[in-house]
Amino acid sequence: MRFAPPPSIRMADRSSGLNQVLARSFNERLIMSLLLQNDGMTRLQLGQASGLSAQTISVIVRALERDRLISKGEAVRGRIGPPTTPIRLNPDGAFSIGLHIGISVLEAALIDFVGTPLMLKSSPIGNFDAENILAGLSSLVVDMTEECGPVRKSGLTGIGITMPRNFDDPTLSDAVHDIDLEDEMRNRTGLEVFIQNDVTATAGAESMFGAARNLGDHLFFYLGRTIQPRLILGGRIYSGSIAVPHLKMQTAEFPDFNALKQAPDQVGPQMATWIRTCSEGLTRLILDFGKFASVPDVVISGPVRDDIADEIVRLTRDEITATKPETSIAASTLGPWALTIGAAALPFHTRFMADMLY
Amino acid sequence: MRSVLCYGDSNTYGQTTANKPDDRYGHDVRWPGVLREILGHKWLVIEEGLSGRTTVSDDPIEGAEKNGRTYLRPCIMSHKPLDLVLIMLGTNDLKIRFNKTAGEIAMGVGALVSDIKSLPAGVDGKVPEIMIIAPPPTARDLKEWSGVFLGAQDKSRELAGEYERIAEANEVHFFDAGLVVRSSKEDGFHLGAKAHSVLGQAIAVEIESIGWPD
Repeated sequence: MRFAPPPSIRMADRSSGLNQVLARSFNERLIMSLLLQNDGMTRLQLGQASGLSAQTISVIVRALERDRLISKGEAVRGRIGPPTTPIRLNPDGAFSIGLHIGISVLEAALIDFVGTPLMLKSSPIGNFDAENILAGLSSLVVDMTEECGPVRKSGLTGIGITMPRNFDDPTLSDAVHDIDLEDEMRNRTGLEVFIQNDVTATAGAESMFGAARNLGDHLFFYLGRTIQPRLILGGRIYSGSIAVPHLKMQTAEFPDFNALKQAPDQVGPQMATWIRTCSEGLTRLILDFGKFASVPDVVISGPVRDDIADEIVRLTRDEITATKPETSIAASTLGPWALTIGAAALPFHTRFMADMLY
Repeated sequence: MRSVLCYGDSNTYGQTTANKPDDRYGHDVRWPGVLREILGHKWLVIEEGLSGRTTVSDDPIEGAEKNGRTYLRPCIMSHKPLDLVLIMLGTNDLKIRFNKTAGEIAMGVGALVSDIKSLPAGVDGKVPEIMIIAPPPTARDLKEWSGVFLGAQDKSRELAGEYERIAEANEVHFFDAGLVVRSSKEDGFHLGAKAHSVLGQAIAVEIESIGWPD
């Protein structure tokens, strides 16, 4: 299986575009990256942020308008139109499906161009083998494309598939890694397929339309049975190569994250322990990292609803403030389905965002 | 202070409708003057209109100096640095002696755009903003000019569409003057005094529409 390079982000603020017709698609990506990160920019602001000339911006804006990727302005044919009208991405300009392969469950999300989840589905994996996984993923895609309506279906830009680095069990990992997911899923759905590590993709989605949208360098943590860190530095996402240690809890002590997503009110007593353990782990990691480099922002995500994430953030903030008061900690805004939304962001990233050289 | 160069033909020069061929509208009547009146506190408006100017052709009858391409480079360099260049040409290319289609005339305008872009004529060595202005179509009755402009009536109505495509391909601004003014009924291809006023006001709006950082 071929893994796509990790998505880079926030390209827009560190490059200036090339004013050439040949580089049009690069410049268009640059403009779309800026529009993803900022809610409504005028042509004037786009010019200043991108370094492109007013004429280049005008042409790009018209082209994006034609392709419905940005909301229709007040353009009049044969005229230039007001420079101060805010330009926004059209939420209905493009759609994407994300698939996440978990240890016991497959999840799917259909999102619009600004990252709003429109449909969420999941199905348990019975026997963890290639055919079961492929059949499960395909039927999730089929269900979604049948239910989403013709407009969204025709606007689908691809499928993003993500999975953990390992599945806690080498045999499970081998079962998934032996599948040519890209080929198989493309043949079964007719859609383009993009594959990435789940936490890395989610860190990317957080920067595209989540809590890290307007952040520069930051640390991203995904909580579960482990704390998985990512460092976002200069628009690139870095992940360590060493296996992440599990939280210091017995397996039986973990809350059932799948059940939590489905029925958020059935929060068992394990939750309090998990919240406390997470916050301790986070505090240690953030302080440890601070010994190497000073990164001002931290974003915390997990398969939990907002109030639980906020509680973890609050506890961690209390611990950190004494030592590093300058650190700002925020909860993810992608919600408990962050991993699946992260998967769904992959096609957008590859097709519409300005990219860096790896 | 920003500067804009108005590069055009008789309709930029301010030639009155052709029954008084030697006449020129006053500086406050012709459209660059109207533009100056509106934008003058912020903009230096430079007039470069020549009667009979073509996009890229020497005129075998009126002279080689009518060629809009050979004069463009020295003209641009004489006035640089420029924030904006307006090009309103193409009417004279409609003359039957040049035997051009609307698409070819537009290609001539495209050549001028390429020439400007090849010069470091903008502020800080950048390329200036460029606006292609499609001239309004000729009147249906071209009076005593009917022979000179044989077939121009239909061709001139295709210019705006062709210019818009060229503007898009070259990534420059486009304005269709035919949206706001018509050629005078007096001679069929020049602009009356009222049209100059309306055009100047419309172009001022378009210039503001480009958007200029403070």
